[in-house]
Amino acid sequence: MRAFAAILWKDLLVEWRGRDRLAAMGVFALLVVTVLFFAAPPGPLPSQREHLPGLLWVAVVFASVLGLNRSFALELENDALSALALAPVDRGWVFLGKAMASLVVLLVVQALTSLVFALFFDVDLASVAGRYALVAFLGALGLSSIGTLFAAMAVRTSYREVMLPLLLLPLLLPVVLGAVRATAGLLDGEGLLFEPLQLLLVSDGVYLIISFLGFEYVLDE
Amino acid sequence: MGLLIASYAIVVGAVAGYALHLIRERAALLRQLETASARGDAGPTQHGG
Amino acid sequence: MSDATLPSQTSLAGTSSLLQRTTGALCLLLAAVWAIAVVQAPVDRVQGIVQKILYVHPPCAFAAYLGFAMTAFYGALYLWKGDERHDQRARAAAGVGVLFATLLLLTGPLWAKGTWGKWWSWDLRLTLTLLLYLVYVSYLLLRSFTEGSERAARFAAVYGIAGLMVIPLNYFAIDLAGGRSIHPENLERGSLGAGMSLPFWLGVAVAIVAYVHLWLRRTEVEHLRGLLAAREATMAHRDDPGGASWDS
Repeated sequence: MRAFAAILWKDLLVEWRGRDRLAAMGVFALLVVTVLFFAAPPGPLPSQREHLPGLLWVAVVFASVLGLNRSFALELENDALSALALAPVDRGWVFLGKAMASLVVLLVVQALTSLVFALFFDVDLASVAGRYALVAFLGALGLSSIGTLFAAMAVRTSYREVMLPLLLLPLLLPVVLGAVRATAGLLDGEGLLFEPLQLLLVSDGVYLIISFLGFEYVLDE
Repeated sequence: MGLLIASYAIVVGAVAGYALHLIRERAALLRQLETASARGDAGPTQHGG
Repeated sequence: MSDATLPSQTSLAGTSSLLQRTTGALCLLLAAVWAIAVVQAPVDRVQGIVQKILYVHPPCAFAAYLGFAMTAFYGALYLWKGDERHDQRARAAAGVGVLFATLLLLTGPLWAKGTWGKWWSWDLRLTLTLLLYLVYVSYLLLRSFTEGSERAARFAAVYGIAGLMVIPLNYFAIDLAGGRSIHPENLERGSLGAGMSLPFWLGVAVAIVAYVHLWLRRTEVEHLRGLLAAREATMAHRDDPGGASWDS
């Protein structure tokens, strides 16, 4: 349990010390949203705005992959991967520490991206802020759990920057679709729809279990 | 009709083709294993093994 | 050291050539009966003759999904027991499975073009198949690019299991996104017309037996490759003991 706290604290400390990297990720999110704005400009009519929740989550996923890509980069650079693997603690706690740290980073990225998106695309997120935050949190939870698992794998492959999205994206569909549908429901004034929420919850649960158990086999020296 | 024939041709062709490919690969691997054993028995080593 | 028994003389990794020959013969037999049934099947009133792709397209689906289930299953066994032969079976399952998934993705659009007039649509089943295909491909890429073969086996096993768990989730996800439109309705609900059941289920049987047969052969090939690699590694080591081992 202390290992969990220690790793979480260490990762967060590293993030905080390198917070100019967060600024870079913020700029990246801004750029993605800008590109999307020019690629698929919104109009005033509802039919022209149907795809907006989807675009928002595309931007979030891209920025998140960027964030996840370096979740083991520090350990790799400093040859600390073996240390992490050989530490006499249950690897489940190592996983949780890393995943929670990633979660925090992802939440910050999401908040940034959503804000910029709402500004550019003239989307009223403010009125549904609380419920949107819940949806965003659930999305980030799914992303951070399998994201951490696959980041640990990707760091051991060639082409590791490409490997992570390659592994992650096909499995992210339930989370992304659930989040998009839920966000769409919120923006359309339907409130928090049960089905997408259920999908998000179930997917998050499945992903957390798989990642927690699978991490054991993925972290090695 | 053309689409129908194409479908069947592709499926049956691919399955049969893959089976043949695997048969050939097996034969090639067995040959290689034979030469590897022969080499292993006959060849001298640097350290007089 | 000499190896007196060559692989062809012993049963390899549980893959006996008897099993291969049995499944091979069974497959050919079933295929013959199936072919006759297909020719004799009635022509669909609505879709015309192109509808007969029914007897080859869904059978590929059975094989593709079976393949993925087996990949995950043997991956899990490998993680549990550490026996390399399970990993070989998993890799074989994925290799053959991706073949059938490719066939599925090829015959689907052919059928679609013949009936709806366009090559693709984002309906539930097609999208699900595409996703399965992407997971398969990512699995294979992961195997290729991971450094170290034992590690690759482990990673692939975890990924295979994750991929399998996600398939039912994807089903609900795509359904949620409203993808239930055009694809021919689920066949278990009895929408197979009269005279179509026999060739259909025969087709499924042929696909499954063909899959198993190809999987057995592929497993043997993987096993032989493993033996060869081990043999070469031993000899390389013996000739130059200071050299690097084959699994860095």
